[in-house]
Amino acid sequence: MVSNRTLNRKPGFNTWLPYLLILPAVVFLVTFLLYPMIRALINSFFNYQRTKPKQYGFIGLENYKALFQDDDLLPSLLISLKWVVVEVGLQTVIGLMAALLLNRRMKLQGVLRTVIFVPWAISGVLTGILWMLIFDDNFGLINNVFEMWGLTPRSWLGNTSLAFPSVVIAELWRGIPFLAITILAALQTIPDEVYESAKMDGANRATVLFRITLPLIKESIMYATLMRCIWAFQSVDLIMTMTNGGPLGVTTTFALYMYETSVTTGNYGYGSTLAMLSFLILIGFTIAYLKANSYGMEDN
Amino acid sequence: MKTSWKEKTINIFVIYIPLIVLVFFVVTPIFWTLSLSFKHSSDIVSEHFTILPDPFTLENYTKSWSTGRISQYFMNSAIISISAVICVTIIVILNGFALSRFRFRGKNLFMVFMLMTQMLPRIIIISPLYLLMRDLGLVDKLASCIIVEIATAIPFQTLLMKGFMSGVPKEIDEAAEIDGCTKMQTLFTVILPVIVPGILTVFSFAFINCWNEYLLPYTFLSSGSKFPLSVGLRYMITQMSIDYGGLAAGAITAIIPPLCLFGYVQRYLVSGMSAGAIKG
Amino acid sequence: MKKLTALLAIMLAAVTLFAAGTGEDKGGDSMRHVSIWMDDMTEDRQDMMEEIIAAFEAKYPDIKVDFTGLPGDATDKLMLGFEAGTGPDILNITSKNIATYIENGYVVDITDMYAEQGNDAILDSAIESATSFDRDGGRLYYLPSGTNFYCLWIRPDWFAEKGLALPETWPEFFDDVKALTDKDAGRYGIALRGGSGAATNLEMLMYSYSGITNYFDENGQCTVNDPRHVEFCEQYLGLYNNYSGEGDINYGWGQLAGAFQTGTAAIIQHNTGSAADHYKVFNGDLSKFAALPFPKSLEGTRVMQRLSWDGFAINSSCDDVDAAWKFVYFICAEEGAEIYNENIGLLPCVASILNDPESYVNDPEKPWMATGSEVILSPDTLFYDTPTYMPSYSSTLTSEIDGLVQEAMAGRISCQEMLDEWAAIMTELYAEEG
Repeated sequence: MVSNRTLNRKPGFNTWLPYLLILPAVVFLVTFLLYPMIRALINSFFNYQRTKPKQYGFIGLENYKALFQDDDLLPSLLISLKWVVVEVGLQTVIGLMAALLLNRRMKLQGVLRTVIFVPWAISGVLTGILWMLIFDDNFGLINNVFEMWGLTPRSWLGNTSLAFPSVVIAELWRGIPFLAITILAALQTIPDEVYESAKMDGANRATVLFRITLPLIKESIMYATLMRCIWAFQSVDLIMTMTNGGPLGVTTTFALYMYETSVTTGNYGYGSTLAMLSFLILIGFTIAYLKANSYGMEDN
Repeated sequence: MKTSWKEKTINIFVIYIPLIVLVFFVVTPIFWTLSLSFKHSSDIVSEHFTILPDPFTLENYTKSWSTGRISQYFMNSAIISISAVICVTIIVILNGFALSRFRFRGKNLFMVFMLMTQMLPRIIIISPLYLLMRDLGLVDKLASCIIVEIATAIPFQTLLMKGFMSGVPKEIDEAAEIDGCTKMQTLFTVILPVIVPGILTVFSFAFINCWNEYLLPYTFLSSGSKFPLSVGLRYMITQMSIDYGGLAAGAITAIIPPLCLFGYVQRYLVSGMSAGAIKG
Repeated sequence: MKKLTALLAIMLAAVTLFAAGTGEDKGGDSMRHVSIWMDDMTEDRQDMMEEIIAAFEAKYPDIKVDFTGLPGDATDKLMLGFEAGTGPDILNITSKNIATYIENGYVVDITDMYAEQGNDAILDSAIESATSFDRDGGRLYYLPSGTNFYCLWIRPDWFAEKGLALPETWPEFFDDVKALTDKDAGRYGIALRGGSGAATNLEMLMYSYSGITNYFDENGQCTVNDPRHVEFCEQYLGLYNNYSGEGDINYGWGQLAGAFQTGTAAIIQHNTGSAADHYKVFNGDLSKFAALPFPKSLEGTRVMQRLSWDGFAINSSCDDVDAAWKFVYFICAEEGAEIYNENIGLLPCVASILNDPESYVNDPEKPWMATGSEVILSPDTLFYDTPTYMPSYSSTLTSEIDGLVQEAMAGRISCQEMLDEWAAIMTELYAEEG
């Protein structure tokens, strides 16, 4: 592989070429994401509360010490964990299913693919309001249909055991298209001959799926689920619109707690500290996840 | 090939029933939105519940277009999204090429760095970003949104593009190089034509994210005439009341451009290679 | 591929053209510019503002007002604008954020400018209320424009059906709620607000029940855990799930409005700001909704939260304070006042509008306005001193107390425990910010 590179006429230039290629990306990322992040890191060492400007000042590690005395922190982290596991798990399974189904040659294939795609094209807050119009106690679709059928209406977003599943369903609806399309795109890269030879060997559907299809698209699924985990951990808009973290905090995720601390309460110092915690958690998770999936750069 | 009776039965359970359930789950809320968009706002939250609009009205659509602001919002959304997405696509192609075709020191670092930038909560970095935009003189300029949306989109779209490029057999570029192509010529004349579906996928993914972005334009822009559609739709939500009908109509209107784009793009997802993965 | 490249090229060219075309021409004129941001705007409200601005610019031809209407609550965007020095010259104010702006020194002291106007167009009580936000010297930092009147929204037709008189006192209120509940018909006597905004609303009701008018006693102790408040909460929150729906525990305003407007709940607590919405939903049928003042307290007095006057303030970084002041005065006290307050649904602070039989306040199609104006102008109405002057008060209610109310509704803690903790938090805050 590497030996072939010697065929290039300008070896000096080609050593620098990859750096040149990634330069625009690096410039954008450093200026508009890394730099603000460093500013946020600095804020996390300050007493920075919008309602208390006179207390503004450097306080060293006080915000970090406060993490250990914060009673709301651990419950919200546990809810986030539950949220990410359930959400990404369901989205992956159903997204994979959808991709496999949509990969079949059938009538209306194009229409079906476009339809499955729609939820993703609707923004987070609109999705939240849309599902509120489905789940609401009084003017929601479900309860009114229940009444027509003579079933007892339930309080989907107000009952402590129903609120979390209801929000999960709404987020699932929004998340399926992303995984379905990513996996579908990956399925396109599997040549037909692979399936044909498997069929000749008399392999059944399950064997083909688990022994051939899944291993071939593993990398795509891995990246897609990793990104999805990172995004799900940080998502706030839908939950905020639908339940605002209630009832009794059963839908208060870590991201929502962070939002409330910084935006609602105006405590940007501690909010930045929570953001750093969030960052560390995600870094740790990502490293563990990539290790577990024996990720390396060996595909060069 | 003839399918046996037994296989047909299995097909019903393995393919058609899941497909119907899936489509039902996805379509119901869309159907509901459509229905709401044709109801009078006062009929949506009211004593008399109906599933289908009764009476049927187009007022939610005509109302928003008659003020003339919505066409401005549409135009702003288009300018922001298309400019950002074109830049993203170009940057990401270069990244993908570097990552899939070169070995270089710092490559792992670059990958990890890109992933890291995805882990910053938006609400925390938005105020430092705003101060930065002020220093750059970009506050209340569409460019501020475009730039940050480019930065936000790069990491994931790069991973996606890298995947597509890695899928192209390396023998192809080796052959081109033997024919005397430089690296860059290989990229543009040999690799790019093969990964058109990938480019279109990246293009449409990035487009949707930009199209729906709310926080950046809301924070950076401060002239009503520069707001994109995502911000324009929020005028229907106030602290005292929500215009559900108008929002439903707005949501339907807003998804048309991404939907058309995807409807066009999805054809490229059917390449000659596939004949059905679970056909077996 | 070629087609695609061509398409991209065309799009890029088009975008560049448009982007270039959107550059504005601001400089070069001799006009005095003032910028104004207003939040919680809708399309209709933006049209209304343009009307007011047109009238203003006709009166002051040398001033040009650059208006930006923002959707939703823009407090965060404004704070960022203040910090970065890119904020507007004029901004609209609510009682939730003004204390923070004053604390940060973001808004101009307008006491002298108001005094120079030399007339008393605006109610003294409104000015007094506005000056209470300055804890140091009672200076005026914003000019009040109008206020929401907090009330109960009730279904008069259901009261008539059951042969009930409208409640004058709290015991009558509780009896009526129970009598109006008919679960078989899908009707509840009340819908409670347990979600966002729960504490703010509960607080108003507690004080109107007890008749207490001081939030803190002379020792700086918060009065919210007074035994009468405990008694009230036990009765009021005890309605939950018996005479209200199960979902009420998480109701914010949207769901609460839904419960009332779909004919599920006979009574909800809100303010006159939602009247236009009820009017639309009930097709203007005034027998289906009416505003009722809170029942009288145990002491026989009518006690309300200190009126939270909305208004307008001027940014400290404003270059032309005189022009900005002219607009603020125009919209709060002059020609703009009636258009503005009628559109938003507020009671104006201008006495001449309140007393004008031809104004919208006394429109028989809007009886809630007259109800509100009567109560707020009545010398018998008492106001308790809601500590909105403490910058952290509103956010503390949302972030800490709302959750306590939910726990008390669910029976996880007793009302006594809820109020004791509430009082402890507020007492502590008072020591710091009072």
